[in-house]
Amino acid sequence: MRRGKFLSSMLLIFFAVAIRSTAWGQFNVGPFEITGFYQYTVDTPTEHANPNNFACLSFIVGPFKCSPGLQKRGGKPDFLLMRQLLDVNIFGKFNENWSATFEPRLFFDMTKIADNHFRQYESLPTPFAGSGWMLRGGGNDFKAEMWQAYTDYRSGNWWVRLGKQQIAWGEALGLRVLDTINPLELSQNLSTDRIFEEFDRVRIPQWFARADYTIPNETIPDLTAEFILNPGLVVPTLLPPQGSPFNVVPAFLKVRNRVNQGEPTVGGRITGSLEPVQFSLNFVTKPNDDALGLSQGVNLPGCLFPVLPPATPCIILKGEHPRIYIVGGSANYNWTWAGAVLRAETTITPNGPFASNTAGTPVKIVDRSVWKTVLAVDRPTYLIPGLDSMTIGFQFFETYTGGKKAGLTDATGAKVDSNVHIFTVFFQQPLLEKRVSLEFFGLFDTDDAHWLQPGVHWEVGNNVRLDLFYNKFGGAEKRGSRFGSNLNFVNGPFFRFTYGF
Amino acid sequence: MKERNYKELSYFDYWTRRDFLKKTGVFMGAGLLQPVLSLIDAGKTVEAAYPEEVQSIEKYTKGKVKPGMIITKENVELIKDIATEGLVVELQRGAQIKIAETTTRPEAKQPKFWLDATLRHNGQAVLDKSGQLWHKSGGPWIGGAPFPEPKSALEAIWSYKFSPRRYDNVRVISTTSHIDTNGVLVRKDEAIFMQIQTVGRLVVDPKPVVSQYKDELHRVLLSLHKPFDSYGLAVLTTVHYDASRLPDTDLYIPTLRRTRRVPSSQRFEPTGPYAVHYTSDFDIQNDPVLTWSWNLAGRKPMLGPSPSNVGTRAKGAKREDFVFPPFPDKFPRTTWELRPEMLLLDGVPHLPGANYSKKRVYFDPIYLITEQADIWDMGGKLWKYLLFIWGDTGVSDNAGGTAPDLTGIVFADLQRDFHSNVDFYNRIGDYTFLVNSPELNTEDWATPSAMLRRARK
Repeated sequence: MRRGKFLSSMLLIFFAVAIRSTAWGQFNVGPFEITGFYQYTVDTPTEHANPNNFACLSFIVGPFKCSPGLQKRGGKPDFLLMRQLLDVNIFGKFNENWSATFEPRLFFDMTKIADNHFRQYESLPTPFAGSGWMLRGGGNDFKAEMWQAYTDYRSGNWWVRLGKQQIAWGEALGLRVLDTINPLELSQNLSTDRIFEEFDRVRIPQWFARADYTIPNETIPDLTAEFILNPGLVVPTLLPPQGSPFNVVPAFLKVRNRVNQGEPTVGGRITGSLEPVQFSLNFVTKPNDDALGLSQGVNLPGCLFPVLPPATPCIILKGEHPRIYIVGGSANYNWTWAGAVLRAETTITPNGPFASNTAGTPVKIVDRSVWKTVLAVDRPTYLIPGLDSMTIGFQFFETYTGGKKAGLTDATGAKVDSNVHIFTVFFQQPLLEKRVSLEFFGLFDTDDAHWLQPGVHWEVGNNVRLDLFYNKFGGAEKRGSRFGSNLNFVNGPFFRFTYGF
Repeated sequence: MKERNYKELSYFDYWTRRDFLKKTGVFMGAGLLQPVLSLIDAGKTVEAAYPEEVQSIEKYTKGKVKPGMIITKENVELIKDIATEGLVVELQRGAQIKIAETTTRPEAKQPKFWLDATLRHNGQAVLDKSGQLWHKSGGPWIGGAPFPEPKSALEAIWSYKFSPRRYDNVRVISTTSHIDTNGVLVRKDEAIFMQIQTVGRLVVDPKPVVSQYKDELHRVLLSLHKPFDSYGLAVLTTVHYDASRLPDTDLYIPTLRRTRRVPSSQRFEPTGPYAVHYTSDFDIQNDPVLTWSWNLAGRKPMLGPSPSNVGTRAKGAKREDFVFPPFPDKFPRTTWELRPEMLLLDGVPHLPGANYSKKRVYFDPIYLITEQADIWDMGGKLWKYLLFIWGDTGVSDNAGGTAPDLTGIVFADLQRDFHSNVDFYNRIGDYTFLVNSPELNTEDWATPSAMLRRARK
């Protein structure tokens, strides 16, 4: 049955591709340009089962591995993700002042169909009050959502964008320093997709009013002030459901997200150019995206008899999202002599929230100042004679947490260090007139954790894109907030077929 | 001593327009020689500036080549001595061109207001020791071609490169067809190109300089609409007035949802998948003037594309018409004519990563533009042929005339036998071809924040 359903889905895909294979794509309907892509993704684990789905706790024997735990069958699953995605971008320009953009997305998660290791789970859950504003609906496998929907108004020095939108700030790529306006949707890949695409598919658009005014002056060309306001339609970080391939919450835990709707996100920034430097000064206050779990007691039957963890988790936490304040800035310097661009980005969160633990139980939230800094350099370099230049990006990322850290845990329940140092490197070597790109991303945590993602991206004509990448997490560091062996259950290749129109 | 003969195609060795002007007594005040353009301004024509023999291909080739004749690989030998090396290779591989009478109107490929400014400002341009262009007052050049009668390769290249598109601003809509060795269309891109001149402005206020950007030459915005994964990508290039500096480059990358400054040094590699052209190749010569060295290798009559090649603007054009018809053919058919004089400018790049040993730019001193270039690889082997065709677009130049502009481009990789051919349109979707438009200003279009607010994705 599973196989039949799977095959019929695949036939539908290839039929859809075949009937459009001779067209160049992109439709125009009235004032609207319609473009987008269909994508089929297969992500397979090759090394480890997800320990979180088997992490049980008993008051009698303590922590133990329960199999099959949250899965239907124990052991390493066959697939992490098998998904069809249709992402459509509809842009309508009504006149020089007004335009509108809609980006509906349709998901069909076939992982559970193709792999009988899993119980049924909701593929893209929204387990919090007020989630209706996400404009997402459907069943456990199929979901439709209006990912983005906004209108733009431009007149003179003014630009106003109203609606459900992504807002990205800052210079750093793939590191959440200034780029923290929107939360992340991690249900289906923990942001381990092709790193070159950064957070575009997972940065959850929220309802914002965004207003920019370019301030005319002779000294700083392009000096622009920006104001953003989300009136309080809060969306937290969306984690994979327990029992799903990417689950990061141990089976013995149940986190009840307490998202207080009505809490606004307010911010602004000043951007400009003082050649050869471009800069930004930023401020934002918002409810913290990640839930800080505080103990709500234990579920005694679940702790004594943890045989059905999905129904009876042992420990129950309430997920709090306290308000945070972030100030920061960014700058880049065009170092023409070296053919490089230098980047810097920093933020200070004076009230970064952490859980204070008593006897290993998170009981209250305390504030600590958190200072994040990224220094980066990008430089194309001719490494291999006869080939195009290789794009090389290097980033150094430091997170400093002030104050007393004893007994503190972060949103993942991990102990907090004063300093965390991370280096990232990114290489992209084009081949064959840039039709093929060999890519490598490496993230190295000095506490012995690493994430490596080598891969190849192939552009075939106008419409077809093929990706084959491999994720590899490792190192001795196992804490949940780090990119180490705690994520080694994701290790393995993923393949994507994309047909664009 | 051997008698010199124009039939040897070395006619400029013994004849120059200067000699001709002297003989005919055509002088301007203060004893200055008049250039071709001022002859025309005085009511004369190009015919008065050149001997009859170089204005007729039939006479020049002793009747072997005549207007109306089709040149193919079968008879390419007939024009071998008056064609660029790249054109000859293209013809040998299957291209076909039609021969037409010589056009003698400079305004066929140059806007009238630009020609007027060129004459009006004649003699006011100077080059400093480094070769940088200035107005004699010490400020930036004030518009029009700075050297209407160039005496060196550097003067010629400045006359073109100061403002390759001639307008205070221009917005063009183009599609690029990438065609492989077998003639198969493998990819098609669509883009909006915009250039906003910040100095030497002649039509749109503020003139002649936008004071805020007085240290720049122009800003160029390239916004891609196709294919799907390029949709919304925008590239902003800020070209400095100092021609020894590389431009600044900012991108709007839809997947990053923000603008990003990037190094400008990747100038000698394909601009995108399948593309024959490099960043260095746009406008025939896209690198700042002083990052190359230039040498005048010769001057002689040569074939040049006719202004009748209007491409998509040729209503009802069929595939077999010689107008650069908008079909995805490897060798779009075009019409050519004998140009009385062509300056051969040899350029050598001095930029890191440059993989060209030489580029020969063919400069037409009547139009003061270049429409062709041959490029050699580091081994000295002919590599690329660039053809930029100008013609009348039929669109107002907002200065009392119609706007001549690019009507077609061929980027040919002669070693791989691969083509990237560009067609230009007066309208695609909600974008129209515009020149000298008050609505195209730097703040609204060509800054990082402008890219962000105009992002389509």
